[in-house]
Amino acid sequence: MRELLRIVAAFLGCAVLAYPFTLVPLSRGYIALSVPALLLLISALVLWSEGAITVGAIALTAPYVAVIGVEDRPVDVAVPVAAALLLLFVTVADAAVAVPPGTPLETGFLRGLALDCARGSVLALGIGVVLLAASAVPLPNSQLLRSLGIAAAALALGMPIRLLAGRRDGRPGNGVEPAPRMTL
Amino acid sequence: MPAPQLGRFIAVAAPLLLGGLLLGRVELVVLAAPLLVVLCAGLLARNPEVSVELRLSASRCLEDQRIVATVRVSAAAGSGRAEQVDLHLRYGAAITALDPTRVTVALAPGEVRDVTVGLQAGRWGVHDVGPLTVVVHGRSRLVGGWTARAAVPLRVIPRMEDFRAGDAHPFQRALTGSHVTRSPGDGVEFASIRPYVQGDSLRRVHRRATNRLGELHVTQHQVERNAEVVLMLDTFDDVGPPGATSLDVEVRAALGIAEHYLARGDRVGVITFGGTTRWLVAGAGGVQRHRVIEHLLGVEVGLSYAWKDIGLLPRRCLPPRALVIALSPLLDLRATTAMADLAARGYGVVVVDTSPEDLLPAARSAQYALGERIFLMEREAQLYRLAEIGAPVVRWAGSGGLDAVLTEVSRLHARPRLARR
Repeated sequence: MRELLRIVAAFLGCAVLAYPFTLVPLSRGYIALSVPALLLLISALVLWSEGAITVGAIALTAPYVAVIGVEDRPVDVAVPVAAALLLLFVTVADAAVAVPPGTPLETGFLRGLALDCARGSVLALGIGVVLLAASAVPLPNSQLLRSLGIAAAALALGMPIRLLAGRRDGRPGNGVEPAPRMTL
Repeated sequence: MPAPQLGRFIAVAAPLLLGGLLLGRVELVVLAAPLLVVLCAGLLARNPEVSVELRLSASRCLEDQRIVATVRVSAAAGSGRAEQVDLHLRYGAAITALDPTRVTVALAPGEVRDVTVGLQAGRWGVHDVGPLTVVVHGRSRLVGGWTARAAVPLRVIPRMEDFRAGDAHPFQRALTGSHVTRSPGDGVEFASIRPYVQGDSLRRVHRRATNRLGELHVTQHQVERNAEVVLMLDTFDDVGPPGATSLDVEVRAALGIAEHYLARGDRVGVITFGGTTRWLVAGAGGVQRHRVIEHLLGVEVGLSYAWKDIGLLPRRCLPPRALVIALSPLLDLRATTAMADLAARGYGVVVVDTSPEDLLPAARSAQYALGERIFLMEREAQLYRLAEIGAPVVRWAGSGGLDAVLTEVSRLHARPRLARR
């Protein structure tokens, strides 16, 4: 079952990697950029380590960032699909690496994972549509708006870190063994 | 405790978000936004609270018997959902798992799950079932924690070798038992018919002999007495194929012999003579049977280069006029010397050879064959020395296998001796 999850993750990774080529025709530059990303993806799937998967996930987005950054293109309205694929890849790859080898998985776990994936896909599509719709609203290109955008980005990145710091404050059971009752 | 997934979400989302701001492209923000939303939702969700319990269907079992280890995992009501609970049950080398020992389950709040693992103990002894390692992942596997349960001991009682022996015993104690002695007295075993002498009980008059011979004759019986048996296990070496090593044979044979003599009301003691020397003072009855089993469960080979002799043993664990049945592969000089010492001190000693049939592998070279010959000659010399001193050596053959040597030892100790006055 772990191998099946790996294969699904590999397909999702390839789909994320192939997505930019639906926007632009194949060129040497993009192919040259995609090859290292593909190699990283393959190495992440073969090595199957936590770090390799993180690096692989970052590398998968590189060709798309290059396409968006270099080409002067209109807004890509299909990007929520790519966002959903990326979220699915990260979720499935993590589940596959988190399961120890040779472990039988019960249907409850697989059902939970499928539910997680479905929920994530819907969420990614929904958020993408909302953001694209919001970006389509004509706003004056003022310094204030730019500042607000930067502040929102800082908040979006800072909130998880703040939540994480809150979790580390003396909660029992985190790695403390043996604990009669475990609390994360 | 943050899980790797949390760092991964941040590592992927942060560059995309910053790239979107720098390049002024909403597409990159759209890529990063779902990751950040899932991240915040996962961190805001309640933590799962999972408790684990490890139980065995039996704390004692026989060799090759199957038992069931049950892992009860329960999630506290009102806590968060445990997306992934990885259970990993470890076990001792002598135990075989019949079911997967790594299981992954998911638990809803308030849910209780029993995971059963069939186990089979392949060898006697005290083995650990556990520790049990539990790794729990919370919502979206963003946070995780682990705990462990201590191992549960499983006592595997050795398979008892079938053993029966005759009445021959070199010494008896002055307590009523089941060993027929040479001396006449108030027993139940018929000895002979003899003429009546003054003081004989009239209840013993043999009527048919009296009528036929015309003179008063009585029946003579033999006295049944109790005996003390000390089982001496040589734990300096353990050779042979797994499952049938010399130590396996020693322990199983010792249990069979102890069971036989205890069932007859005799007193049985155990001495483990090896790297670690342990002893069990002789006793009788059902409690002693359990003590013998407990003692045998702790038998193990202890590597030691120190010279050891019977001087180490306390006097009370070697009662005078005890029959010592020494079980040994006869490979260590310290063990054979101790047996010879016991025989020289007047104990009735029977040495049971527990070495495997194919003790030495096939000779691969002329030098190896020469070494093998030297080893066999030295061993032969040791056996001869033991036999000469009055400690016959016999291979373990199970039921009835010791009858001949026990008779020989009884005869040896019953013969008249010169005593110094």
